[in-house]
Amino acid sequence: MKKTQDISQIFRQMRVPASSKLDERVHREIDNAVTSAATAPAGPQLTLGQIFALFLKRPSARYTLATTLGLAVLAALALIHSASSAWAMEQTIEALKKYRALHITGYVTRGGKAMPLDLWARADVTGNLVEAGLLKTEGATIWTRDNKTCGYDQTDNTVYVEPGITTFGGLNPWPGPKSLTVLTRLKDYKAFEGDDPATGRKRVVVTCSIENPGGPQLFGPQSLLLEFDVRTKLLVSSKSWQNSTQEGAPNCCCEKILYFEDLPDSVFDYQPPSGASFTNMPLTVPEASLSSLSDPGCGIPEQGMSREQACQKILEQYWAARITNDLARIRQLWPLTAAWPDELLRDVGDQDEIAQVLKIGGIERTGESKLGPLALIPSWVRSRGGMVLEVWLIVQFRETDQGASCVIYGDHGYALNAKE
Amino acid sequence: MLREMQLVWRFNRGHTDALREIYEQHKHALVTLATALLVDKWEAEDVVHDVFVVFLRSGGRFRLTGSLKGFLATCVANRARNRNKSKRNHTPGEAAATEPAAPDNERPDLATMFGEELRCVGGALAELPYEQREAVVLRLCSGMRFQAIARMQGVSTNTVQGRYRYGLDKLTTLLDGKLSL
Repeated sequence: MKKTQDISQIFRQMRVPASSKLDERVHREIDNAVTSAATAPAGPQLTLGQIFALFLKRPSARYTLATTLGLAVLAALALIHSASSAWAMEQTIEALKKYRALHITGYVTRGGKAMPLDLWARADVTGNLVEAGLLKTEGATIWTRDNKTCGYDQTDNTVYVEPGITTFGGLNPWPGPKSLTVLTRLKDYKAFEGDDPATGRKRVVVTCSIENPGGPQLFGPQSLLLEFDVRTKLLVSSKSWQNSTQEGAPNCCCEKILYFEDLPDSVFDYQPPSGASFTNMPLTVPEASLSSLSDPGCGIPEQGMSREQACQKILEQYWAARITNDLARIRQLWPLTAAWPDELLRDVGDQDEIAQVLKIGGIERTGESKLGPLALIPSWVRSRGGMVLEVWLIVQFRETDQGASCVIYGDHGYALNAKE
Repeated sequence: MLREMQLVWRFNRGHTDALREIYEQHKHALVTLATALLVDKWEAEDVVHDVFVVFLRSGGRFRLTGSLKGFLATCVANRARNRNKSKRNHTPGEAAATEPAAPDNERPDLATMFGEELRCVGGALAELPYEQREAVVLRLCSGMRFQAIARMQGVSTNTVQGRYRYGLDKLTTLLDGKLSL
């Protein structure tokens, strides 16, 4: 009896202190979650979520060439190359070099309802990515600020913030030379030249369909109708459908596209109404990617490690594979790329060849998918050109027949040029 | 209790400092509980982290019906049980919970977790079947009632009392001579 009492005493006195790492993780979560009973009810988040889903689809973002708008712009530019000698890719790239900014007006369709679209965007100095943008549609505004993408939802007077500049309005990656090079593989198009009586200008109309615009399983087929000005070589309007046969109402229609040599920062200024609360955009991944992410043959085992340690380990292995161009290992760690042909995977890797990993950060944000917890981690790497890049990657934790493990879901937004 | 209610009231209204206070108040107890249940400090910290993440997402609609300490301890116990279950499902051969644990002198991590003095307690805990360990730890570390543990385990109170008694007996045997009892 005495011994039992002593054991009870020992248990009552037992104390395993929380580590400073845990403190950091929990406090970071608290910092990230500005919860407010009055301003952030659970329900209305979906409204903006749907709008984000429309504009900011970001699965495997670097490899996802574009969503609606970007796809239309880029596909058109690439297709023209093959369509006619008047539309050589080099000419189009040359024509675009003069311009660093765009303004698009049109509409997007969601749930059978057409919503007006007004989008301003400016490319970064490399001409490859959106640096600043402002997109307005019914009830919502999306803009970029300090390397973040923000979305204001009028229905709950809340601004949702994502780190990085994500697939801004579908315009990322910007239709620059690198993207065009990747897009030269697009096929199945028809081009017709005609006159536009309203303007007296010659136009080329291109139609095409793309089966897997966003990589394996992520987006369904898309079809496009693009109108080019023959003299300037520039795209002047476009329509896209989420089917391969241009059936039904287009999901996006860019009625007018204007090009600018540059635009001042003030164009992209947006102040949400006073009283708007700020919160983080929930970290999640598209359901369409879950079947790939659950492949038990992919990833690394998690057991015996904390999530922080598992993230460090998988990212170390991923960057090592990128540096050595070990495509099989990249596919194994990043299952969404499993079905990609070597050529595509190698080409995409070549875009910013990584020479050195400078630092892999800790978990900055967490989320949840149906498979399990998600973690967002920054890495700082140096490219062969000497540029330091900040890359955010999402790691998916899951339980499979092989036990607890984790895989890389993909990039979150686009690599940012960072200072050392 | 009044202080807890006030904290929860502030937490529900978006005062993050209230959540910080809740975390600071309970973190060591919860990590101790999770470590005793899982005999793995890293897994324990993941569990506590996950509990707080879920808890902070409940801000605005959380209703406190008992003590906050009891609520958080129950959350930790539930998560730890799920984690243990999944580990057991994926351990080839004999189930993890009934597998003989490595002797505590072969587990230097036990000293890191529980301190040099109590490393043998960690080793002994690892040798208990999970249900017995849970009954002992929840009763002794968190002061939870048998009835509450029974509800959590989905068994009768008598079964929990039995698990507790067997667990404690086994611990007494395992620790005999190892501690200055």
